[in-house]
Amino acid sequence: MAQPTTDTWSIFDVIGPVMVGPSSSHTAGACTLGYMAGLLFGHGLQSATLHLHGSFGEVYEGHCTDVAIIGGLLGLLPHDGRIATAYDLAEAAGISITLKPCHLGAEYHPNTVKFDLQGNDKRMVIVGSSLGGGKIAITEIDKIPVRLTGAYSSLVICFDEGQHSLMDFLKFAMEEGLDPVKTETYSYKNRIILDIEIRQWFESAIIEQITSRFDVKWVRYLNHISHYDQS
Amino acid sequence: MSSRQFFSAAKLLQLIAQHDDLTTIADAVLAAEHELTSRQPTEIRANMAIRLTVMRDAISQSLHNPARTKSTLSGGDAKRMHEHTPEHNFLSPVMHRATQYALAVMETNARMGKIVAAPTAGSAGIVPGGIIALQEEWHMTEDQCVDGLLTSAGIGIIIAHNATFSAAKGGCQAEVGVSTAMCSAALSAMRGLSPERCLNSASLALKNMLGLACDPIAGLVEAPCVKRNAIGVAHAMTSAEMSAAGITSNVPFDEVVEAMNNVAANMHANIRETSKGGLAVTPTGKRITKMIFGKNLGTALAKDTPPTAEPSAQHSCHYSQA
Repeated sequence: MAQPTTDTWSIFDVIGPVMVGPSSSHTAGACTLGYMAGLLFGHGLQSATLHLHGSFGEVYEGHCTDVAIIGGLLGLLPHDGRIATAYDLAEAAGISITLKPCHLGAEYHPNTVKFDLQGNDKRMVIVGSSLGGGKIAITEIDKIPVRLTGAYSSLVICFDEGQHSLMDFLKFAMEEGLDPVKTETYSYKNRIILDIEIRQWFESAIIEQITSRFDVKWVRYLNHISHYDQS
Repeated sequence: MSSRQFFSAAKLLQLIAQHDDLTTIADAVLAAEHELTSRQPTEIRANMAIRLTVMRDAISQSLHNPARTKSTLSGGDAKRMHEHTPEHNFLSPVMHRATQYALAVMETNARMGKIVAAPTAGSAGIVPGGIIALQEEWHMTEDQCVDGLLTSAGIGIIIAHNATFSAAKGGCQAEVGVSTAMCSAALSAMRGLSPERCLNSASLALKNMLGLACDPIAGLVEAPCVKRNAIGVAHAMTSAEMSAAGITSNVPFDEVVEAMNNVAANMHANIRETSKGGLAVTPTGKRITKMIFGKNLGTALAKDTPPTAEPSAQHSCHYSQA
């Protein structure tokens, strides 16, 4: 239990987030998990099955955990009052939602959700946990163990081993004038996810360039999630 | 320049002792945040001041509102306490006001209104209740309140790095327990106590909350959470007053946080935000759960589903769909 966290804590994570109630872990954190999963999936979501593990599965109704996750999937952040109408928004967007309380295993944090997201001829299975006080971590993407917390902005690239190397992407980023701060490489079997921290703003055209120049499975830009912002 | 980050109370006090520009915990917190995020101290203070406004709005939304919440488990108690003005009151004026405000924030939270998690939503009433009541009763400036928030954030950051804010991991000691420690240190700082006395009041507060069960009825952040916040802020004030009187905790703050972790590891999952133990499974708890959901809340009351079974190789779902 006593595992000192390596995550950075801003005072705005402690006195914050500014959020719609009733629970920071089961509402605000759940919403942020949905938001991250939505960014990772990208466009064209048609159906989402939410496997709710542990405490999430036990008490989601009272904490509006399901509502918050769905709101996040639709792009809403924890302080957005529209979260309360997430089911209606999902219906209007033509996204079908299925809820399944489950037990993923004791090694998972008690507040964990496994997203099974489908649409646009693609499927992505994402696991993430709400760590308390609104903090979150995405821990698995299509069985690849990762740790994405939204603590910094990053370019996330998924590709198969042998197709490219870390250096290919770093070289490309530098050529485009980007300044990668640090990288993390995650893998499962021959599939690799590269997380490149980039602190500067850049054109979304870079994402399209990567897709056309390299043989990648997918590329996403994950914006830094800050509890500093409150409106 | 050496790092201004602190992950323990010992390091926090050391930083204050070593740097001439740091006198209070709030100074040290501001310096650490500036170093971490490059945001200017004026910017950081201004953002915290906006949070005070959100807190006041959350109080005023429910202070005069007699309506029960959707679940009918809470609502109207802030007003009840506000209008309760007997000649003899066990609570001092500032404590009486703080309990009303803590109730009000939590009622707003239960209505899906906007609040500031401090450090969590289930404990969102304690820090604002204490700080804003003190401001009004003792005529403190907005700057002093911001110093109070910064002090409480410093206490929170130490706990975040060494323990948890997650009741699913540590029970209610991780939420209301932590917020009483944060509030107690904030109030001590606002009345001008030394950093050591502020940390001491946080130790007194947190020690008395070790092992607190998180056992919400029907899984809602209402019973016992709403009233527990009101009693929590009174608890924080008692701790702060004891520290001001010169009463010292035998165990220093860092070790109290260690104890909190140790206790968390010994707490059964039934009393860690699963609503499978404590108040949630009393006859009344079960009756209310049934009344609210029209059923036994799916799996929540099932007896044969251990919350922490052996790790399974497959990620299969054992529970039926709720």
